[in-house]
Amino acid sequence: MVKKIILFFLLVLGSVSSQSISGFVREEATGEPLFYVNVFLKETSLGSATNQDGYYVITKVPPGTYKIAASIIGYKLDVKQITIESDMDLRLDFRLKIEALEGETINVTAVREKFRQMVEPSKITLDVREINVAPAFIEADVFRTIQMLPGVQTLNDFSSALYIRGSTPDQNLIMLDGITVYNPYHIGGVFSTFNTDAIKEADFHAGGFPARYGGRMGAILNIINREGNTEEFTGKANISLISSKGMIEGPLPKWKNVKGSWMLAGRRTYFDKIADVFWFFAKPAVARSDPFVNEEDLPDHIFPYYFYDVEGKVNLDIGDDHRLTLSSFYGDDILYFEEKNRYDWEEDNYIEDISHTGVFDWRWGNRTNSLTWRWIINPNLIAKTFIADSRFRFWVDFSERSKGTSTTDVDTLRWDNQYNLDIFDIVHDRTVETELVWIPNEKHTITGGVQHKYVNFDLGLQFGYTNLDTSITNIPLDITDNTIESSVYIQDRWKFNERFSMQLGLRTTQYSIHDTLYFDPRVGFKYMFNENLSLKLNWGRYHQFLTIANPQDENFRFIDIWLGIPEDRPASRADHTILGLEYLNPKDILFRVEAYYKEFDNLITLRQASIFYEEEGDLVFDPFNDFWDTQSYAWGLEFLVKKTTGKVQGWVGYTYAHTNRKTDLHGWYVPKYDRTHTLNMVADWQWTDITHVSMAISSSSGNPFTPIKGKYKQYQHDNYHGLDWWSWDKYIVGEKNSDRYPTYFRWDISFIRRKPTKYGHREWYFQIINATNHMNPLLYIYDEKYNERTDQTEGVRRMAIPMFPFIPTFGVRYEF
Amino acid sequence: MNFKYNRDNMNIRWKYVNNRNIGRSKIFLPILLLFNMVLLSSSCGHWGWEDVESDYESELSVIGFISLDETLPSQIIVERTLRLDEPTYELIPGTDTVWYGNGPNDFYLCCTHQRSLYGIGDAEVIVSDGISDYSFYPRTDIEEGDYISRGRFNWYYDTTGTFQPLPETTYYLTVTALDSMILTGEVTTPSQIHIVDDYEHTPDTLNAGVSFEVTWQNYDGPGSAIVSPLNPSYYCGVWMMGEFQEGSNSWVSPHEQCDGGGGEFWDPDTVQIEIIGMENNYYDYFIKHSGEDDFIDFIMGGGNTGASFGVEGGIGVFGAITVDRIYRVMKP
Repeated sequence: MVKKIILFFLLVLGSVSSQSISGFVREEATGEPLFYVNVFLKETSLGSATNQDGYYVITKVPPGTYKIAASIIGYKLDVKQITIESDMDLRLDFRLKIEALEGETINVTAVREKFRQMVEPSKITLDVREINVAPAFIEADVFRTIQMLPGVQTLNDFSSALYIRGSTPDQNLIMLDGITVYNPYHIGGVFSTFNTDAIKEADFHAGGFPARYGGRMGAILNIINREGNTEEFTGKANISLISSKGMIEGPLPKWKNVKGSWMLAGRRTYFDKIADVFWFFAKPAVARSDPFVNEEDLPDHIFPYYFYDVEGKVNLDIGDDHRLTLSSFYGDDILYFEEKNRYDWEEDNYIEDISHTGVFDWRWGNRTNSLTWRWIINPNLIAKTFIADSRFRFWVDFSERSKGTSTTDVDTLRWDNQYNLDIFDIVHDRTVETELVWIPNEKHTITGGVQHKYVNFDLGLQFGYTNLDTSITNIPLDITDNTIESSVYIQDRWKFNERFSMQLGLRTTQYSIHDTLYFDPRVGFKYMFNENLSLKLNWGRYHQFLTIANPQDENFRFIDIWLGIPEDRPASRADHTILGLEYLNPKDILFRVEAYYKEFDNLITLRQASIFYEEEGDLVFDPFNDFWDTQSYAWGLEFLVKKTTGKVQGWVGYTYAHTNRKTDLHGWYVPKYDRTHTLNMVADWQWTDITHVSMAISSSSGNPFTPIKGKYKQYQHDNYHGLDWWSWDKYIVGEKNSDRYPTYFRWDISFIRRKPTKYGHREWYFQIINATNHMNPLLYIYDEKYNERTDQTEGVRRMAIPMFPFIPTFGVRYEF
Repeated sequence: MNFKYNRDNMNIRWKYVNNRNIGRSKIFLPILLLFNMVLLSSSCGHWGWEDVESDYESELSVIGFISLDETLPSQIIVERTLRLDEPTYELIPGTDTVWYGNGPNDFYLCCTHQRSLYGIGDAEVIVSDGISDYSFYPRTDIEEGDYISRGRFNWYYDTTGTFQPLPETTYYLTVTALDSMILTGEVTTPSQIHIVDDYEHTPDTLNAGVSFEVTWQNYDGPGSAIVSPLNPSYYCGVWMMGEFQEGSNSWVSPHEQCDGGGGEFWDPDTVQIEIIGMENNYYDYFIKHSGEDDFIDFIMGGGNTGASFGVEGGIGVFGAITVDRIYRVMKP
């Protein structure tokens, strides 16, 4: 099949239509490509719009002289005169200048062009401004902004993980410039991995995504980083309460017909460094206060955690038709404790000298590298070849060393004992992909490609012991999986006429562990009632070949345990059905109503307490290999009103959602992330010329939890120290997740004041998280009430552990 | 001033111009503050401790089994579940909680004696083979004041010595407590297990760290194996446990890796090898579904809806076991 598709595209190379105009539209100041710019021949019906690379092509242009215009709101209309001759392919690039909103009237905005073109439902693009202005926890975060969109649910304030239309975060394909990122979080989800200074925009598909995306059955989020300024060296710096970050970008030196740009961004939390400074001055006093403590025995660092990330991008344009893009990301969270002490003792004929070192070193994070080659084979055919390497790993290393000598008159005893425990999970994804986009005429955009994804999973636990005579290593857990997903896909966006268009696609995947070819057909239809109103219907099938094996009841998730779908289980599957109505009013305010139904099959849920099994007399530690077969479905209704122009911008989203899961253990139940009603409002108001006020209000049904009903004694058959029975107190619980926490409410507000400086601009911002200090329970803890007077217990009480309380934060940004 | 610049290189502008909307902005701020005050004055949720309410009603909870082993009596533990508003323990009336020393002021509160309110010590417990009924009672032959005695006041046994359970026989349990609460159970005992006690199947001397096999006859259900020293010894490999599935007639001991485990300090010891055959109710409750919580949380632990195997009218288990033992010498 792959050969046939390649042959098909090779045939296409020689079948280019006559007379075309193509090129890129970029911003003049930075060289960044502009999306959805309307490029049209004046006084004709011929025209096109730029894609996400800023590329446009107008086909079948009759020979003649024309005025061609490129227009988008916010930029000065650029009009050029051209002459097209027979069999001529004209390459014409535009560089648009930024212009005030009060400028000349512009017919078509990017919002409207997107509204016209998009057949896919449930897609929202957030630009960097929308990401930056929405109040977030301490600093802007793309995931926090996406959480405010309809269809997106959250587990709690501490998690930026995305639960989308009944799908769990592991079912979402999160990409950075097209590279899969497996655990895109810092601090267990409090922050996302992505540095907003480096982001150009975020493409979010809540469902019904096209055939070019595969391997996941939930949603798609593609973070697109800046390409780098092609004109001049510029940068940004941001200092918040917990971190500082920066971004610099600029052009590469031109050499012959090679030119390009680069971008480098980084971020690091510095609370550990601030704590070190305080600790440096406090340490002597602490040592003086305790006669048994020497200053040198105290640790050098007292705050053991930090995270950092660094990312870069280099674009190299070779001639007009070739572009190489190198993109890299490296980020880590580090939790590190070290304890050292030394003890020496001398008395009469006895001397003892002991040193002890204990280290806890936990690192987790992502590393991605990719090289993309874009080749404009001819104006109607563009090839993109993509080689990517993405790795997520967590590694916990706990080691302890005790070393010493004891000397008497008779002899000297030496010892050097080392213990270490390592727990690790590494997911390594290597992907090669080639995609061809063929625009034979204005009615069709055909996209096809092949993707080969090699994923290695390595999950393990090992102990080691070494002394002066012996070295022992024990590996009680070692799960290694190597899987290959080979996919071929093709899709056609077919503009049947001015009113009706459709997108038909098919993706097939061969999963190396299974002897099955998985087919994922996807169809979408769009009918434009008029230029402001459209109806969309979409259906698609999605297979997924990996899963996570984390306990479903956990409240905090620092790491994901990724595993390939085992041989004895079919790939997980979801079918999306989406019906949507969109209305774009003349002021470019988008109104969208979407109903969805999503049915899952072959899901698996980890059996939370099953951690051993016996094999030929051996008790094998394997906590991630026993699953419940799980069924699930989700349905809902979403409303979105989004305003992207004017002094007040933002959106209001409401979601009515139901998600249900079924296992043999629990029957049907709602998962922890289910929220029936969710109302989100995000608004950014330009109060004065230099001041912005932003706010985000989120209110929703409380998350489900399993209530306790009573108490009993659980008995255990003692299987180790002889035959006996012992017991402990336990709660009787109700049906799984049959109760809900109180209604969630959070109001965040931020003030931004921006002024020019000698070298650029400075921006102060002040934010309040949970301005009303509303108690949103994360979980309940339970306790027996104790009466000191009677020395007896008096029943059970509970207390809610809150999510974010009232938190004021501030920071400053610089641009130069 | 007419300064214009773009923000974030996108099509967004911040401008220094004479803005006609400033007047409206001044109105907006008080509205915003008012809105804020309204929100602040609204309910902020409940902070702090609160009582937990539930409409749950207490029920009987019984852990009982028929033992075919002569050294291990059949026993029924009778308890009830508690509502959330009930205390878990009560002071035992009449027990001394003050420790007195030699001097007049030499005393302190000590060792409060409490009793679990789960336990029911005055239940009527009847085990029947369909022909005869046998009443079970809490044991009274343990010394007064003994901790186990107080803790096991609700463990019921055949105190007459007349109850002699037979293999492959169905027994019925009836527990009546707290006037109106009745729990019933039913179990069929397994066949009597017999370990093949010869040195061909299980050598006379075992070596910790080297697997050995134990074979039995006359029983093909599931169960568990326990290896334990007769004297307290703790060298690597001397304590072992394992499980076997239905259809097995042998058990292979785990491969213990004992290098450097300190066994050189210990002498060979006699170990008891105990094979426990479990009828399905017992096996399901204690082994197969043990620890299988309906709810797990790292902070509050696990919770369960209350499993029942072989009982009706409450929760718990009414099962049966058969046990056989052999003894061998084990070298560290």
